[in-house]
Amino acid sequence: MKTTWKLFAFAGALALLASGCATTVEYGDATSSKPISTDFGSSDLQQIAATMVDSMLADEVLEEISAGGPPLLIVDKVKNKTTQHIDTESVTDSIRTKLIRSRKFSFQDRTTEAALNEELAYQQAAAKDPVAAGQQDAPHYMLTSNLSEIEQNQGRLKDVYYKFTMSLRDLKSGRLIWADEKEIRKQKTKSVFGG
Amino acid sequence: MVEGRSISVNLQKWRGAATGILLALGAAGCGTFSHYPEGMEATTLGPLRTGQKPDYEKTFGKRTEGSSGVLFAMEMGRVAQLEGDFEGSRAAYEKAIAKNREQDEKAKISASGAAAQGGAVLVNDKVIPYRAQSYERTLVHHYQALNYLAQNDVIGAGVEVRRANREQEAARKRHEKEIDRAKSDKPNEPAAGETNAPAAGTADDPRLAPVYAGLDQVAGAVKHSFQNAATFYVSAVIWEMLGEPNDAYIDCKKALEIYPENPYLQQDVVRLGKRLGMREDLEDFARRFPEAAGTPADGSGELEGKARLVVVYEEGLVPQKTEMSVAYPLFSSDSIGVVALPVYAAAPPPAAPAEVSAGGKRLGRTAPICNVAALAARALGEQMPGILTRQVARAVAKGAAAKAAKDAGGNGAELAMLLYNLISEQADLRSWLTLPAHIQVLSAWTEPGTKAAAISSPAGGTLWSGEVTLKAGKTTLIHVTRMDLAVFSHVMVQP
Repeated sequence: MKTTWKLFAFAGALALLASGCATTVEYGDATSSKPISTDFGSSDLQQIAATMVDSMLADEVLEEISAGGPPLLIVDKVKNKTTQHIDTESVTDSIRTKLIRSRKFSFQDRTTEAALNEELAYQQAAAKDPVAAGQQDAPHYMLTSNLSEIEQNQGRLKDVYYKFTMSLRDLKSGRLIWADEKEIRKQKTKSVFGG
Repeated sequence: MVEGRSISVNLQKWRGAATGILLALGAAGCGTFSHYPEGMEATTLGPLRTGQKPDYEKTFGKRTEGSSGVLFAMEMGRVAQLEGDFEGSRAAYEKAIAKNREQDEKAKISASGAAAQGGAVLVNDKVIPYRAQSYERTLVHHYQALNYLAQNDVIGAGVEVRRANREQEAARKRHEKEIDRAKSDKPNEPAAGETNAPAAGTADDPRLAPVYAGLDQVAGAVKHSFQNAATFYVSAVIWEMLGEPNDAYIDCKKALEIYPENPYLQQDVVRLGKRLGMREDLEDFARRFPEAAGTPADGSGELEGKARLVVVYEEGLVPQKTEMSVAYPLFSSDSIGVVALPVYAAAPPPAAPAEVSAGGKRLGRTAPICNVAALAARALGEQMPGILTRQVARAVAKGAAAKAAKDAGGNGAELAMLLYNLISEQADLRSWLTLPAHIQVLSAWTEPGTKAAAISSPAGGTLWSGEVTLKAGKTTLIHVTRMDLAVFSHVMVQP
C-alpha cells in the first residue's frame, strides 16, 4: 500500500516538473502591429510593403503605362541604410509577390540571373531548340526602394524613425514616373525601476 | 603577562577568525580569471604571442553568460577572428552587442544592478557586472564589420559601420554634456576663507597624482577615449565599397580631425573631395596638406583603371591594468585609509611603420591612425572619479564592520575582519586585452591583377607575404595583426 502511494507521489512530481518546464510555441499574426521593440520588425515590413504597393497600384500613372498590356518591370533589391541587419531580400520578395498578384505587371527576376545564365549555357551546349542569350525581353520600368533610419535619444526616451522610399523609373526616358514614402516612428521609454 | 594573554583567546574567537579567512579567500576568488590579466595571459595571450591556437571555445564559451559576459564575448570575438573563424567571431561579437544593448535598456534603478553595487561595497569592484567602455564598444562594431566583409557581405559591413558611428557619436555627445555640467557646477567665486578644492578623483586631485602620471604617460597626446580615427577610416573604406562616396568623405573628415598627420587620410579626403566637387573644403586642404593636394579624383588621371589596396596593420597588445595602493582620506583629512586603484603603469613601445609592396613594387609605408593603448588609458582616467568614490565607500564600510566585529566578538573577530578587508581589497583590472596597442593603415592605387604582396619591417624582415587579387575600381583589404612572434592575416576582396 505504502509503495503505491510513493509511486503516485513520484509520478505526480514528474508530471508537475514536465508541465512546468515546457516551452510553449504559438502561431502569431504576421500582420499584428503590436510593437515589442524599437527595431524594424516583421510587422513593420508587412505594413510597409503593403502600403507602398497599394499606393502605386492606385496611382493613375499605372493606367497610362499598362494601356498596351502589363509592362515588364524589374524590382531592385531594397537598400538597407539602417543600423540593423535586415533581410532586404525578404522585403523585396514581399513587394514583388504583391505586385505579381495584382496582375498589373509582368516580371523579370534579376536575383536568379546566375541560374538563368547557367541554364542558357546548358541549352546552347545540349538542347535541341535552345533559347539564346540576348533574346530576353528588356524591362521598361524599374522599381527601387530605400529604407533609412534616424535614431534620437533624449534622457530615457528613445525615438527611432524609419523611412521607406519607393520610386518607379521609366528606363527608356530615364524619368521618375512615380514615388512615395512611408514613415514609421517608434518610441521607447526606459523605466526608472526594474529588475 | 604575555602568556596569560595568549591563553585567554578561546576557541570561539578562533572560529570567527577562521570564518574570516575563508570569507577572504572566497572574495579573492580562486578561478582562472580571479586576477583577470593573469587569467588572460595563461589561457589566451601567451599562446597567441607564440603563434599557438588558444582554445577560445573552452576558455570563453560558458563565461560569456556570466556577469563579465560582455568582456569574454569581446575577447572571444577577437581571438576567433584572428584565427580565421569568422562565423564564430561574428556570433561572439553579436552576443557582446546584445549584452551592451541589454545594459543600456535596463531600468535606471534595477534590482540586479543594486545588488551588484551593494556586493561591491562589501567585497570589491570586481563583482560589478562588466560594462564595456565606449572605445571597446566602437571597436566591437569595427571588427564585426571586418567579419561581414570577410564573408563577402558588404551590406552587413555597412550596418556595422553605421552602428560604430552611432557609438562614437554618442560618446562625443556624452563628453560634451560632461563638459557643460562641469562648467555649470563650478562656482564663479570661491567663498571667503575657502579654497577652490579640486573634485575628488579627477586629474586635479593631488592625492591621485601618481595614478594620473601613469595614465598620462600611456595616453600621451590623446585627450579623449573616443578619439578613434581607425574606425572612421575603415568605415570610409567600406562606404566606398558600397558606392557611397559622400558618406566616405564625411568619415574621412572625422578621422582627419582626430589624426590630421596621417598622409593616407589627407590623400583620401582630397581624392573624395575632388570627386564630389567640394570646392571650399579643397582650398582648405590645399593650404593644410600641400603634399596631398595633387591627388586626383578616383577613376581619373593616374588613378584611371587602377585597383585600390588598403592595409590595416595592427601591432602589439594593449597594456594591462595593474593595481596601485593609494592613501586617501576617508571621512575627513585625519582618517586616512588605503584604497586599491587600477592603473596603467607602462606604455607599450611606439608604433613601428611597416613597408608594403605588391608585384615587386614598393607601395609605401603604413602610418599610425589609432593608439588603442592611449584610448584605454584615457577611458580609465574618465572612470577614475567613480572608481575612487566606490573604493572610499568600501573602506569606510569595512572599517565600520571591523569595529562592529571587535565589539561583538573581540580581538579574534576583529583580526579576521581586518584580514578579510585586506585580502578582499582589490582593484578591478578587467579590460579587453586581446586588442592591439596600435593600428596603422596604408592606402595605395596600383595596376590590377593577381600579385605577390609583402609587408616587411623597415629593418628588412618580412612580416607577412601572400598573393592578393586586385580588381580595377575595386578595393582589396589586407588585415594584418602582429603580436610578438605571431602574425595573423586575412585578405578581403570587394565582391
